[in-house]
Amino acid sequence: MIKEKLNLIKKGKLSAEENIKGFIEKIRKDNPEINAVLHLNEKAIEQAKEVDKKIKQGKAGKLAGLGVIIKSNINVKGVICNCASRTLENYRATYNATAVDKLISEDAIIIGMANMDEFACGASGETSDFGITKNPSCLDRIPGGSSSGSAASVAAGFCDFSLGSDTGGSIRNPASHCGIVGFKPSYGAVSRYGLIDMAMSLDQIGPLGLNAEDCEIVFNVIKGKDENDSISRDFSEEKKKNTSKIVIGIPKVGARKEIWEKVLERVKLVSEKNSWKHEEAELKHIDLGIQTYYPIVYVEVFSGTRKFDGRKYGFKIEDVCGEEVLRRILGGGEISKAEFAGKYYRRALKAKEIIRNEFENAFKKYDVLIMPTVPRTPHKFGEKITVEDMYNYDTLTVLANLAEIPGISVPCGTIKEDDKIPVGLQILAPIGEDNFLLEVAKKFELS
Amino acid sequence: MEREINKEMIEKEAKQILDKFAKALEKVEKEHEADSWVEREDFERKEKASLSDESNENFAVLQNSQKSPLKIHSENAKMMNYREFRSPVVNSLSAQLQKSNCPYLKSSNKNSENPACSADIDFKENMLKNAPAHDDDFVIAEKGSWK
Repeated sequence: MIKEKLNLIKKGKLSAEENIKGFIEKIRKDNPEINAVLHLNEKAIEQAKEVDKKIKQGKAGKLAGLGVIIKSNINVKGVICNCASRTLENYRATYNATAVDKLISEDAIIIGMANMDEFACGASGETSDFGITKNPSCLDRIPGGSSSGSAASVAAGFCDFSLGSDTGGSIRNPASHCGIVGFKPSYGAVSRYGLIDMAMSLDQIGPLGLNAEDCEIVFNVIKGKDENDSISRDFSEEKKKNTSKIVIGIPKVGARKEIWEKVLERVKLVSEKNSWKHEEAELKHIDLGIQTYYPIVYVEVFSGTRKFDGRKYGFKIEDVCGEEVLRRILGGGEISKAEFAGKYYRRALKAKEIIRNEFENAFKKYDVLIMPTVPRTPHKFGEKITVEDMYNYDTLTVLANLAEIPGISVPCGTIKEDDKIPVGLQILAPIGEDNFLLEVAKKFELS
Repeated sequence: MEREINKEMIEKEAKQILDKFAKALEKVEKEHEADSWVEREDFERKEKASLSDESNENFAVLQNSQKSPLKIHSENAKMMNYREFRSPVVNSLSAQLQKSNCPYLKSSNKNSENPACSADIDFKENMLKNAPAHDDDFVIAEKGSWK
C-alpha cells in the first residue's frame, strides 16, 4: 500500500502536503475516541511542503511524502517524548533517534507521537498515564501493547506506517489484536540509539504497517550498523535464501483452540499453494519463556530507570509511575540484592541461553517456525485480569526476544465469537534472516 | 509528589511472582548443570572489589572484616594462573589488532583527535526548556532536599 501511495506522490496525483493534512484531519476527528496519538508534530505540514519542493526537483528520498507516527519512547527532536509517563510529562527530545534520522533523510514526515504503555511496561495499552488506547477493530477491547498507539494509529488510518519498540512482543502483540502487520527485527538489526530503554538486552525498534511489504520498505530504510549503538549490526550481506522450497516447523504451544484453528488453516493453505512442507516441531523449554523473560526485564527496568531521579528534569519515577512500572522497579531492586545472586537473574540468563540453543537447533531443520502471535483474544476494558494473566499475553512473543531472532505477526482471520476480533499468526526465522522472513510473510497475506 | 499506590503490596506481589518463576526455572537449571557457563568467581562477586596496589601485584578484595575493609587476598593457584597467562594473552591480542585494517590502529601509536562534530544549535535551547529550573546557561539540578 505504501508502494501505491509513493507512486501517486511521484506522479503528482497526491502531494505530501495533502497526504499529511489528510492524516491530521483524521486524527483530529477520530483520535479523541481512540487516543492513539499523544502529540502532533507542529512542523509536519511545513516539512511536507519542503518535501513537495524536493519531489518537484526530483531530489526526494525513498519515503517522500509518507506520514509516520512514532512511539513515544523514540526520540524525535523538538517533539514531546514522554514514554506515556508523568515522569517525563513535558520532556522535549533534544536529538533524533537513528531510526528517525534515517526516515527523515528519506523524506518521510513525522506526524506525531503515539500513546503506549507507560515506559513500555504492559501488554494491553491500559497503563499509559495519558489514558487508555482503544482498539480500532473493536472499541471496547484493548489494542494490546506496549506499542498500543503505534498499532492503533495504523489500523485507524492515522498514518502510512508507524514505529514501535519490541522487548517481549510489544510490536507483534498489538499488531495481532488490531489486525495489522508488526515486525520485530533481529536483535541489533536496527539501531536503538535514541530509544528510551525498557530492557536493553532485549529491546528492538521495528515497523508496523498495513502489510508485510510496507514493513519491508521501512525496515530496509532503518536497518544497519550505527556507530552510536555498539550492538547494531549489518546483516544484509549474510546468506540469502529464497522462498521456493520451505519447511515450516509448528511448535506445540498453548493457545486458544479457535486461534490455533485459524493459524493452521492459513498454514495449510499457503503450504499447498507454494508446495511447502510443514510438520510439528519439538522445542523443549519454550513453555518457560515468561519465567525467563520477566526476571531479566525486572532487573533491567530497575537499572535503566535509575536515571529518572527527578533531579535534572521531570519527577522521580517511583513518585509518579503507575503500578506495573513500580512492580518491575521494586522487583528488579529485589533481584539486584547480593543475597539473591544466582537465584533469579543468573538462572534466567541460563534459561535464555537454553531457549536460544533450542531455536538454533530447530532452524537446522526448519526454515521458519509458525505459531499464534498471542495465545488469547484481547480482553474488554474493565475486565479484571491478574498480573500473571497479563504477563501470559506475551507467552509466545517473548521467545523471539530471548532467542534474538526476527519475528513478524501477520493477520490470519477473525474470531467470530469475540466480536470478530482479528488474530495474528507469528512467523519466526533465524537471526539475520529478516528479509527472508518478510518474503515468507508476504506469501501468508496473498492467500 | 506521592501517588496512592500500596508499595509494600506491590513489592510483595513482585517477589511472589519472581519466586514462582525462579522455581519453574530451577528444574531446567538442574537438567543443564553439566553445560558450561561463563561464571564469575566468588571473589569477583564481592561488592566493591578492587585491585590493590599494582606494585605488589596482589589482588585485593573486600572481606568481611570489621577493622579493615580491604584485605589482601592470599596467593592461590587460580591467581597464579591468571597472572601467568595474562601477559601472553594481552600480547597476542595486541599483535592481532596491529595486523587489523582499522585505520586508527594503523595510523600511529599516538592518540589523535577526531574531526570535530558539528554543533547542534537547538540542543541548549531544548535542554534548558526541559529543565525544571535554570539560571542562564546552568541547569539547576537540586530541586529540594534529598529523600
